[in-house]
Amino acid sequence: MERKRKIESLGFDRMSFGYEWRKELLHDITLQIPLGKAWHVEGPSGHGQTTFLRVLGGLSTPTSGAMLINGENVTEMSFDEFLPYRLDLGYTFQSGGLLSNRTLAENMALPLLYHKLCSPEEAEAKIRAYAERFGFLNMVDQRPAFVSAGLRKLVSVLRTLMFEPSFLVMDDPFSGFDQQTAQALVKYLREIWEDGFVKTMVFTTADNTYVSEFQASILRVENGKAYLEEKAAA
Amino acid sequence: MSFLLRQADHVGARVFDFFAYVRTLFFMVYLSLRSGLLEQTQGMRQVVSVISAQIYFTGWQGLPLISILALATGGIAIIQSSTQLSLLGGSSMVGNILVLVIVREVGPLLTALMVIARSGTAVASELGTMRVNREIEALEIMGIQPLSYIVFPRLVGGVISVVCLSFYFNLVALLGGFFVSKALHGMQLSFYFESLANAFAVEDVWLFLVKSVFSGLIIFVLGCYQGMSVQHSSHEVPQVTARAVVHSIFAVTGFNLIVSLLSYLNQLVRLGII
Repeated sequence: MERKRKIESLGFDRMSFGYEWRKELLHDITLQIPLGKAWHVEGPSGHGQTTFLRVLGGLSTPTSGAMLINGENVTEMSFDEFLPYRLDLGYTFQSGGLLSNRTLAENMALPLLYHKLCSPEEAEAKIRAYAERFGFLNMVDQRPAFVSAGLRKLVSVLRTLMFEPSFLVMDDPFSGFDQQTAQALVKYLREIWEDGFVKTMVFTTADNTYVSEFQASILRVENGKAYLEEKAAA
Repeated sequence: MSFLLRQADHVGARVFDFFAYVRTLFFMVYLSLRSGLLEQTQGMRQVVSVISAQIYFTGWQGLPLISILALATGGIAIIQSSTQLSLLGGSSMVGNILVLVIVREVGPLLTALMVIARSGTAVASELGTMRVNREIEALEIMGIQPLSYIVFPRLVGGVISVVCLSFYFNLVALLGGFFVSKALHGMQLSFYFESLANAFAVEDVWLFLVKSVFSGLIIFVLGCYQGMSVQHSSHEVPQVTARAVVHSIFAVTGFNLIVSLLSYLNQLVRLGII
């Protein structure tokens, strides 16, 4: 079976999404997200930015309409049918997400070893390189409960980058760190952005300095709608 | 009249809810076995590590408690049966009574109840907490099917543990009980084993296996289902844990009762009584 399928196009066709307590948070969105750019999701608080990212990241299924990847309606796909796309579609949480009964290293290695994307030795070398770069080599064998919240979040972001997705969805990735770690993460993301292994980034952040780092365009989510504003954010 | 109709409507709705619940549980078992066995093209090594962890927590760490429970049950059963039988002059029947009481009934049932208390609660609360901490969603975004990585290993590890613990319970209860009985009544080992050997039948093994395997399955399916049903916040975790325990006790006890009843009816049919 094909392990990973490159995302060549991604968009929505009359997509709506709602929760039990709020029926239509996103309403009738038709949108094609141009690839090869960074997109900063903006909008008033409570208008569904995180929900939009969850749908975009394949975590929440639209209640109606379709999410189209490479022209295929992935909304109707089973978990296994969607898997090749999912491995090219990274998603990072605002908080949480690490398996609490696994060490940081085991958490990072899990997707690689589970999908046999590399050998255990290669995974270990990759984790070591990340840990050295971000200065947590002495903590890799600790479980998440024994490290700081900032390090937990950093590992969660790095775990997503481990399987090298070309389309990256990040929910407030730069908050919760000290300035030095946040800068190191931005620098690394810029490197992989310029190298081209991450081709498209969609993210939220409250700090506009990070938006300008990636010369991100604006993807506005407001009143249940989402639309693109091509001009670069401030 | 309208009161009666409302009551009938209420009962009918509860019956439909019950069947929908049972159907969902069967569907969950089917999907997790399918994703665990048939579609498991990758990650088997990771899944096996979760199975062994489950066997360690449920089986291995449950041994001290099971030992005490088995010794006490075996001791009581043997003392009571041998005392009553020797009064009636039927000491050679001690094996029959022990096989009936310990191997067929008490062993699988008490083991299952102990596993509900230790592991059913643990699985429900662990999975509930994983939901709250977004660990299940994290697995999904890593392309790891939670049914194959979370549910399937717990079902397999749980069933293996319950079968092994039930076997261990019977062994300790029969052997330990003998030592208690020897100390009190001076019963001979050869007499005891001969009585047991004469009492054992193939049907006992089948009954033991059916009860243990399905009790294990019931406990871990309910634990996993209730744990996975947590939606948003941590206050749901104790609620689903309590629900998993209550439902498991009802289901396991009911299942054991039905199997015993069917076996009894089968014996009556064989003897030509019905």
